[in-house]
Amino acid sequence: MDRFQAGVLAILIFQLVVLAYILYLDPITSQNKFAAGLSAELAASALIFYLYKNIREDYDQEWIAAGIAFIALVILLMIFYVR
Amino acid sequence: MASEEKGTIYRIVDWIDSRFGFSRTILRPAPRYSLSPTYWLGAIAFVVFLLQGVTGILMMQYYVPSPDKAYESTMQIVSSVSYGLFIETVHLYGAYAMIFLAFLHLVRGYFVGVYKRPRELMWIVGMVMGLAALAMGFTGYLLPWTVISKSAVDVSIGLINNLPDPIRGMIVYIIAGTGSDEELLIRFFSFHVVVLPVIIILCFAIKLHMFEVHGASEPLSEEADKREVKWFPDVLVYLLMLSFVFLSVLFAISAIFPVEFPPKFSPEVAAQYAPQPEWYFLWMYQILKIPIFEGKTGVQAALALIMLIALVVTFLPFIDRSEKRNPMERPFATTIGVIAVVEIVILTIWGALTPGKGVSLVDAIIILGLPILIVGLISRAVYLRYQHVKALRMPKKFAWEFVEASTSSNLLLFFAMSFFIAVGSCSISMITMSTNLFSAIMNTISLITSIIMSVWILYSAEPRNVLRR
Repeated sequence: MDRFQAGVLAILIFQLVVLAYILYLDPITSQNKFAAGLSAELAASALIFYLYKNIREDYDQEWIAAGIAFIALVILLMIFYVR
Repeated sequence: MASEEKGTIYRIVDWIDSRFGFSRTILRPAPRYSLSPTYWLGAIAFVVFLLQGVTGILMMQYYVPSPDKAYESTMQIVSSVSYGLFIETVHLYGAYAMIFLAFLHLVRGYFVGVYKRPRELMWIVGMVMGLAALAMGFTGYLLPWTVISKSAVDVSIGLINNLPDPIRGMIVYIIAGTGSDEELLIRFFSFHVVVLPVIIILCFAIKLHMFEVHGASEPLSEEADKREVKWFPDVLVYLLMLSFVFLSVLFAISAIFPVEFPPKFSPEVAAQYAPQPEWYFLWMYQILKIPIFEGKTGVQAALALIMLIALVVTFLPFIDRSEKRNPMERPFATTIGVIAVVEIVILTIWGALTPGKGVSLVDAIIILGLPILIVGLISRAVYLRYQHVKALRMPKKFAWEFVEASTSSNLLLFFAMSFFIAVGSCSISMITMSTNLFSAIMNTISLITSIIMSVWILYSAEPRNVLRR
């Protein structure tokens, strides 16, 4: 397994965990948490597309770092801020 | 990285392609230079339109288009339906995003001259889509039947009554009918969910066809990478990536700022609220508040002015016939464009700061006139510099070497400078009103700043002219 496949696998596992969490939430009282979780899911998918798009070239580490930082921020918002 | 190391991913992509036949699509490959977010603003706006369709269909399961039940059914969606608040919030912010992206797409197209031959009709179809998107915003605003939205629509219909009779009669016949609330709401609803989406989808099909014929607009730089990439998987993956990033931000904003509605409309409650249109109509609302546009003739003149602006922008390809596309070679068009964007932003902020309040003619002249002076001055300096007008040379250490950057960077810098000085100074006037001494001092300072900046541009180090290189 190369770095690309390992990265995609890690993102897919992360997406499954977040998906399981947001489906477990109450659909009326925790809608903002659901929105934040969905935002993280989409950002993670965008990261996979970014990795695939640049599969033949060197990845731009800054964009990957920005993507991961955004996902981390949204996850923190989901856990600690929004209801 | 050798291809055999990525075998699994390639096998998945090949499997998808062999089932869907994406690579045998009629959609043309795209040049590499077009894989940049600015080229895809229109496409992302259409993706958001599709999201609006999905969220709209979900809300239609619960929404009741009747003045008695519209507000209650909207509140039921927000408070008791599973994921209802999320869907309602995404629908609202999606509408904002769609209109904002369409505006950015228009502005970008204007500055880089994408409307020039052979894409004149693409521009006109795009304008029809943009106007339909605005109409969707207008019709959708009424549907929750809140005190602010209903009052604002009443004001708009009141304005239409000032139009000359054949036009007034036709518009009222189409959107308001006999004038009862029931008829108004049901017509707005049918326009919002059927007529306007159909117009947008038809226009999209026509525009996509023309895009396939003409391709992406040519780059302004000769050095752009013109090698082509296949539609599947490269262009599709890029579009999905951009769309997901955009939707991710949209959902995050929806999570942090869920929608809150004002009270239900009733004549008694309406007396306590100032009618306020949505932000994308605030600039027009503010124009109508200028004293010279008071009275029936004044309103007619203001509406004629707004119609004229819309017509000029729509038929721009047949008005601006020059072949030049680079904004640095089109001083007049670029300056007018920057002034228009700055004025729209200023009118929008001003409208948001003064809900329901009138404005004086002096305020209007200062707040709208100052940006023209500032942008005009800086623009003149930038273009004179480009034309290699010899001037005094500054010592190298003070030289502002912005002209050595790329063309688009120059334009952005010029745009940002004018924009911030003009909007900054006018914001103070908008808050304090121009008759205030503090505001007058700040306006004078910003004007002097722009004069100093213009002189600096003119007298800075010798530029390397990118266009002539």
